[in-house]
Amino acid sequence: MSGASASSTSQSPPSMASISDFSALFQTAKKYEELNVIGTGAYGTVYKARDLHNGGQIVAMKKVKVALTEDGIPLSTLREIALLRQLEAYRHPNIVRLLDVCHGGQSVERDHQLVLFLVFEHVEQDLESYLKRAPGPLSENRIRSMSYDILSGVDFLHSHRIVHRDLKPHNLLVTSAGRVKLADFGLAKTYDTEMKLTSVVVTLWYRPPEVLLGVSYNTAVDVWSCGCVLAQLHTRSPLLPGSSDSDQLHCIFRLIGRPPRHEWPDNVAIVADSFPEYPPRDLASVLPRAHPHALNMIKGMLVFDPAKRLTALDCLEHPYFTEEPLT
Amino acid sequence: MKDVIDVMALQSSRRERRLPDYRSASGHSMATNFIFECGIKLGLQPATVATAAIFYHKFFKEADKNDYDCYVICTACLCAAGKSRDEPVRLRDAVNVAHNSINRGSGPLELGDEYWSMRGAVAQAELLVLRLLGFNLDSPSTHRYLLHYLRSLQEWFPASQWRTAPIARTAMAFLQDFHHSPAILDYRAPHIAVACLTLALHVLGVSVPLASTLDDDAAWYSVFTKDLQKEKNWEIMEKIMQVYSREPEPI
Repeated sequence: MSGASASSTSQSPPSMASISDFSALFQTAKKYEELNVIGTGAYGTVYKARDLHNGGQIVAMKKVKVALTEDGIPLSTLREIALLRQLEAYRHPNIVRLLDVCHGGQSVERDHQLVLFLVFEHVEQDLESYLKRAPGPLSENRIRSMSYDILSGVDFLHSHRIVHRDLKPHNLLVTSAGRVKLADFGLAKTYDTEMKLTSVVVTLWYRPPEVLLGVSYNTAVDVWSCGCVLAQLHTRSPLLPGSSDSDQLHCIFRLIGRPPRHEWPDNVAIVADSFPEYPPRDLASVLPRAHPHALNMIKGMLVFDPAKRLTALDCLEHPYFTEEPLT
Repeated sequence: MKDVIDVMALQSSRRERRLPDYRSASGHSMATNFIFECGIKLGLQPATVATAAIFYHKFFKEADKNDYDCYVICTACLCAAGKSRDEPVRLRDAVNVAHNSINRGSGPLELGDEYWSMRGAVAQAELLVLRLLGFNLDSPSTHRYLLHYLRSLQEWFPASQWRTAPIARTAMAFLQDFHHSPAILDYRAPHIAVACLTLALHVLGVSVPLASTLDDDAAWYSVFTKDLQKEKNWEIMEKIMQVYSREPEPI
């Protein structure tokens, strides 16, 4: 039965045989021309490419390797990609556009791996390089509108039950018009399986205490990371540059003070007493140029207890943004 | 005792004969029947089976029906629909159910070449379906619209009348059966739900209480969806009825 042709005519009985000419469909008309590698992140390689069907528009292609399970494509991967597709329908201004999903499937069966290409709009620079290249401190207005962009994107994800989990300047993109767009979200589970295979150092600087302590977490993790990024907009240098998991916690507690014992989560391997009794620092001394409203909001985002942290929506409604209209 | 009619045997043989023979069916004429049969055998929710049918119709809107084995694609659609709706199907179960439905009476497949080639084909076809759909696996949740409308309408009907006419069952059956037709892709979910509901009311000869007091007696459904014209509603109802005039199943 195997090896029968894929076309079933009305005479021949349905064969359920293997379909031999799948590769033909995979190769139909080359759609993208690879230009160069933009970066190799923890999750795979990102290429810059030209969309041959859309007037040579430049796109960013992220290559994601998915391990195929016994039952084909993993359910989590499938649902996450479908969710990204669904989100795309809203065309949120602070979310990077997902233009296409392709798979290169020639060697699917051989190594039980599926290579997926997620095609995103190409944005020239990320916030990290933007801050590095900035000639001097950013203007108050610039900081405020960028902060608002970031928080709008995060609030949008949260309202669609998505936790980014890895917000940092590196995956916040800055368009030529100075708008910020979030990238690299939604494939959390897909990436997780991949992360075990690569040994790229993942930055800890934007990690909230609950993640460092290994307790359960929710959307509040993104608010913490946002707080760190927003502070960085003011100083152009990272707020909490820890060098290891424990050093990161020391950095955090030196800033916000060691939390009282009753706030320390249960079932944590590390006890509160392993940290000196750091007193909280005044945020104004760390961010001397920041507006009082900005300080107040960032302070509300960098709270130890995730339940007491502001939400992204709280932030968007904060006087920092509402008192004066955004320009 | 010779004259006693073996009712059970008669019934079961009748039921056996009513099942379509996919081997002798021409081309894709039995494709959606196959999806429904396998979906039910796999214990999937009606909405998931309906999603599989939608994937099938979408797939062959793009691809040529002569290029792919109909039942391989159908099985792959069931697998993809199961995953997209968090009701995963074991690939092995899907392959066995499909094989058994095509080859009636045969036992489960041995773990041999035939099994592996079929399994490989379905796994490949699943990826192909996903690719052709561009990973747009959002199903239109027509069932939920209909359920919501039915619940609202139930409150409006006198309880006794609601109990005597099987409105909900009939409307849901129309919706499920409409998935046999590729026309399901042409209309929005709320419109299809209203059409199924209207058709059920017509078939059962039931009218919505106080609807006759409205200027337009079809206006009762404007509380559910504002932008459905009467003509459009009739058009969908006709499309639903056409499903029942397809080639009769072999009996």
